[in-house]
Amino acid sequence: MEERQILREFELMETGSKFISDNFGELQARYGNRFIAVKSGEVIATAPSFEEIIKKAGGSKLCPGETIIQFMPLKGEIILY
Amino acid sequence: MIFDANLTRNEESERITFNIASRQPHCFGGIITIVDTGSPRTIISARDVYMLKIPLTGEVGKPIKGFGKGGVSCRNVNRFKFTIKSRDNKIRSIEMPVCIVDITGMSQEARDQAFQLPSIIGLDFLRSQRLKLVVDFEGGGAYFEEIDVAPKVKNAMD
Repeated sequence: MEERQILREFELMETGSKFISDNFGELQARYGNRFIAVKSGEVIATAPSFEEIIKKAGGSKLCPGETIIQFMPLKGEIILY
Repeated sequence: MIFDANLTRNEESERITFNIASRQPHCFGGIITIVDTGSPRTIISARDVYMLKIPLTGEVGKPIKGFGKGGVSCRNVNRFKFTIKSRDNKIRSIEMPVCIVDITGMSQEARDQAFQLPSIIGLDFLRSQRLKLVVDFEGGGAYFEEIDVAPKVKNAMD
């Protein structure tokens, strides 16, 4: 049961991360310098701040892994971590 | 065993992401990390600490510094529990020390900045899990692979 649940979490995460990865350039062009919330392979909300995106994406009901919150850097910006 | 990562490439960005799932008590959920071989430590970002409600209980660590001014406060969690998934859908459970970002007491500007940063898989992950990282730009893939730990057998002819 536990393993099935974990595999399901990975499946949801992979859908979201693949969507972001495949569409990174377009997402960056449209939502650069904003936070985005991605669920089931689509952008469900965008906001300029983290607090705001959390509210828009479901607040305390937000499920990490199922909904992915990412910050999109501006196009042309070089990000170093 | 092979653990796939995602290689994101477009005209302006190249990065490798890797999905992990937190199994910390009461803090279950997915984390999309950036694979950063320039980082000696694995870091759980402010964003993921908030979303997974990870308690800030570890000892205070040295601030995380990157480019730019200042550092980000962090706490050391000695046994952070998470899982990774192999290409053939096997789950590996891992416990390893990580830094978790602590934004307590930060200015609003610094918090905003901290929330923009992702979680990072560092060299300590490769070392502790005995994995090598393979990045294939031509093939468009990246993955971690277990290092063969079988002892080298001396050639009988030697």
